Amino acid sequence: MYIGGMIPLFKTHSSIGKSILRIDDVHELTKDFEEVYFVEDSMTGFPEAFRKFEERLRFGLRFSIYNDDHSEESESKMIAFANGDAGAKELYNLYTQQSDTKITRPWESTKDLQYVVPFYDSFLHKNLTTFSNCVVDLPFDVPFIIEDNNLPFDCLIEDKILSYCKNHPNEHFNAKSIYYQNKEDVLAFQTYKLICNRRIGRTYDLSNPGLDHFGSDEFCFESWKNYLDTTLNSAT
Amino acid sequence: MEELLRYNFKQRYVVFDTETEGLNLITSKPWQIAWIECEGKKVIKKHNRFIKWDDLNVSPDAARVTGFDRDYYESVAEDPMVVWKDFEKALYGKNIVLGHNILGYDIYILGVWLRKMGVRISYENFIGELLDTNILAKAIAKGDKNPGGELLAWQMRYLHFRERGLKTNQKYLLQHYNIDFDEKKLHDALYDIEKNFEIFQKQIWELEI
Repeated sequence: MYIGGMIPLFKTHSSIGKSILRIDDVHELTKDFEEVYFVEDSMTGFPEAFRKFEERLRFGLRFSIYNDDHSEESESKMIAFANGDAGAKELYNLYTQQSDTKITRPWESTKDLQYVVPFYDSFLHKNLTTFSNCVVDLPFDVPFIIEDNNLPFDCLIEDKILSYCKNHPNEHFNAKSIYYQNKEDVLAFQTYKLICNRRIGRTYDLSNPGLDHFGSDEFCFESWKNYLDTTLNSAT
Repeated sequence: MEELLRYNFKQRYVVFDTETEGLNLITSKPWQIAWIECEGKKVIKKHNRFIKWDDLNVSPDAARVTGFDRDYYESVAEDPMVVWKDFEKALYGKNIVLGHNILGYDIYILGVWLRKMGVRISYENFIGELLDTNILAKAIAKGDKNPGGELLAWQMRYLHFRERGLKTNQKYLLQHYNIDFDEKKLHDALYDIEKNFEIFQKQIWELEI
């Protein structure tokens, strides 16, 4: 299937609290896809995804990256996609490494991983919207993801990425993070997040979920499909 | 904003506030919206409108805080699209959009309103002209008076900034700036925004905007 100018990036519930999609759901939705991209926060779903998708699988791990001083405030996110079997091994190593080490320049010790800067929680996003000072020594072959999920600050982050790419050789491409199937599933996703985010001494419910910036129903397959249909219609 | 706002008596503002069913940024529909149109220090026009939803379900907490009266609401509420069309003219009208806690809350509520009508909100049409008095209060309290060009990003940083004991709620700010107010009327949308505009008129003397 043609996936147009926007790559769907699936996350499943193996990234606990981040998605309500199961690997089976993704399999069902992407039967005619030549490649299926996952961006997970853990490796627990990798074996099942590999069994189901085989050579169609493009598995990415979202992990934390830090400044050289390893300070907590310098944490931002990065994605690594595995290239082949050797890449999968390196991804497992990276995943294991991050549990006891603060990763600073992962690209210096890997050969078969393609790194990508996520749209949300990247060093640019954090430096822009918080008082963090994330300094990432980014190689020029690491591209940036641009998303449009109709959040108020999306345009702000996009401008920052475009400006960065204008001043550096890094490229950017459009993608969409997908955490649930249809727009109407956003409430199920919100309920799931509410349960996962329970904290002692805090009472949240659906009238007051306490989820900052949870104001979009666009992180879904339906939204990506709508974009694709609109693009194809306007091209014909 | 080429000229400092405190000296720009021609600058137009729209100050708004919503009252809603709850605090859910996906589902809480606004049942009241008030906005005032201002020029310089003067309030030019006041609007106080109620939005008709057949499935309105105001949570007990929200009803208590906002003084929601079902009978009154039923008697004055109007079609959501009619109210939106009127508000939209002010929102997208090249004014500075002003409010208290709008960046983290009310603008999402506008999104809920539009989604219910099957319309996608265009934040990019007004977000660059937005000023949030709650955020400005944090910046003032921290002694940061100059946003340095990136006004929205600067506000986003303070939106995410939290410090124990840092007070920026409207009642505190009214007291802080010695502005007379009737506590019983706070949380009435129209009263809130009029008072908020008075707070803003004090804040612009403490900021280089």
